This record gives sequence, structure tokens and C-alpha cells, in this order.
Amino acid sequence: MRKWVVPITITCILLGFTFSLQYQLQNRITLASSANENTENLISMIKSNEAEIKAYEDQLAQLRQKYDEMSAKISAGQYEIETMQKDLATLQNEFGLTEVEGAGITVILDDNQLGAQAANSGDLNLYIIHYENILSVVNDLKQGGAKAIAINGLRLVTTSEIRCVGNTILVNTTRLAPPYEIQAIGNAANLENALLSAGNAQSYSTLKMLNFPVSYTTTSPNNPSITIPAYAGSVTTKYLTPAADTKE
Amino acid sequence: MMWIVPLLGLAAGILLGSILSFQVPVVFAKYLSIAVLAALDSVLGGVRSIMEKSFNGIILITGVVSNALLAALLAYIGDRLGVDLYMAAIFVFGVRIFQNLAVIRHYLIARFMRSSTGVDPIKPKHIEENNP
Repeated sequence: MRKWVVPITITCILLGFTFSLQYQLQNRITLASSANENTENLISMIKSNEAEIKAYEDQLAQLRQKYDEMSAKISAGQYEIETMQKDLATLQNEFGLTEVEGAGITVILDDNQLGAQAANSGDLNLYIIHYENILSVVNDLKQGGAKAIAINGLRLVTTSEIRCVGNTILVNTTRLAPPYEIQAIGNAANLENALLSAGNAQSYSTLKMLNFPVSYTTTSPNNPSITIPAYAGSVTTKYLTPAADTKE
Repeated sequence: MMWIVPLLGLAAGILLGSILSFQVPVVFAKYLSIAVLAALDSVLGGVRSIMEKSFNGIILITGVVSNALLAALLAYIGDRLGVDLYMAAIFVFGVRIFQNLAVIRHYLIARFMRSSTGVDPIKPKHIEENNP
């Protein structure tokens, strides 16, 4: 055996040993760094996902806000509608499109048939109720603060007329026949007072004085309210255009 | 055929290193790499000295150990000082490895030419003798 074999072999073993160790070590380092890279990838992925989530959350928040705004608008709209409906109800009530009830007075005017028979001749006009009588009573009741008036169940509204055609009386273009029952809702005492205190030629007092069979009843605790029906006719606003500046 | 023995030794070393379940801490990667280079340098230096017929076993073994230790020490000091001194060791070992390889190649070529043609080529004396 040559003299160099053993030392060289020893050195070679050392070389192989260290080489192997270093090879493994480097492998581990590479693995570790790649694992590190994976971790970093995961971290960046998480970060980008978080950013995405944040963006979606922002979007969601915006949508929620929009939703809130819209529902606020809707509820505001509903409130407006409710207000308008209330206004409408009030207006309908005021105009006479609803049946109403309350304290008030009922006046009954009738032709003086007994007086006519007793007189037997002469001017019959003196013994019948004329439209002026009804108009007078209605005016008196209005003066007494009547809020709603009906004649023989016909509700008086702003367009109502009380007039005479031939020998019949028309209210709301409907012919009336005696006896005439005039109902008015309001302060019963005031109505009664207004009815009785009027002293013109057509008034209730005059008719009473002339022995017409007229009478009235006011509401009382026993008879707490009278009911006045709604106006049944049509309401047209054909020529009515609200002036621009009076709108609202 | 005696060349087989060192090769077997190399294989045995690799095998030993693989079998041993000994994990070198990562911080020693630098030192280990220097040790690898020192061992390689020593092997090549040894082969070259054989070629030059100036082989000395003691010099070789002490050279391996001292080179490795010195390089490791250098690297360690470099670490302490924040200077990459182990680079210097790597550089020196690398240069010497290539020099030794060149000399060995020259000798092998010369031997081959002598045996095949009988012509004696110029002996590679231009590379200075700095082997352990």
C-alpha cells in the first residue's frame, strides 16, 4: 500500500462527510426559505382578502346607507300620504261628503193646511211654506253657527241651491215635499237662539205666529245626536283652476 | 488501482453524513461550507503533491485541520466584526482548488502523452508551490 492512500482517504472521508452535511443543511435552508415564501404568500393573500373584505364592507355600508335613505324617504312619503289623506278627509268632511253626527237642532216646517181649510178661499200662497221660509231658516241656523245642514235628508253644500220652480221647492236639484225637515249640527242652544230671535217676514217666529204647524227639537241628553247624511251629488271643478300663487 | 480506496472513502463519508441523524444548526452553514471547501482543497492539493512526488501525509492531515479551523475562525471573527471575512476564505480556497486542478490536469496530460507518444511535454512548473 502506498503511503498516500490513508491520508488521502481520510481527507476524502472528511470531504464526503462535510459535503453531505452541508448538502442537507442547504436543503433545509432552501425548504425553510420556500416555506417562508409560502407564509409570505399566505400573508399577502390574507391581506388582499382583507382589503377585498374591507371593500365589500364599505360597499355594504354604502348600500345600507342608501337603503336607510330610501326607507326614510318612503316613510316620509307615507307620512305625506297620511297627511294628505287626513287633509282629504278633513276637506271632505268640511265640504259635506261625509255623513256627520252631533248635537244640533231639527226644525220642521209644514204647510198650514188647517188655516187654508178654515179660510176656504183666498190666496193659498199665504198658507204654504215657500222656499224663502226654508232659506230664511237655513240662514238663521247658519248664523247660529251650524256646521252641517240638511233639508229632508239633502245635505247642503257650497253649490247647493234652495229655489222654487212652479209650486215645488228644489234643493240640490231635488224636489221637496212638505213637511220640510231641516237638520243642523252645531251648538244646540245657539242654533235655537238664532232660530227664534230672527224676526223677518219669512222667519220661523213669523211662521209660528201665523199658526203654521212648525216645530223644532234640539238634541238633549236623552236624544244626544242627530245624523246628517253626506252630499250625494257630484262635485265638479270644471271651471275651477287654482291660481298659481295660491297653490299649496 | 489504489485510486479506488479514496473514492470509496468519499462515498463512505457521504453515506456517513446522510445516515447520521445529526442536524447542523443553520447558523453553522457558513462554517460548514468553508469546511467543505477546505477538505476539497486538501484532497486536490494531496493529489497534486502525489503527482509532484512530494507527498507528505502529516502535512496533508495537519493542513486539512488547520485550514478548516483557521477559515472557521476567520469567518467567526468576520461575523463578530460584521465583515464577510469568510468570503476571503472561500475566495482563497476557490483559487487554490482551480490551481491544483490545473496542475493535476497538466500532469495527467503529460503522463498520457508520454505513454501514448513517448514525447515528454513541458512540465508544469509555472504554478508556484504553495500546497500544504
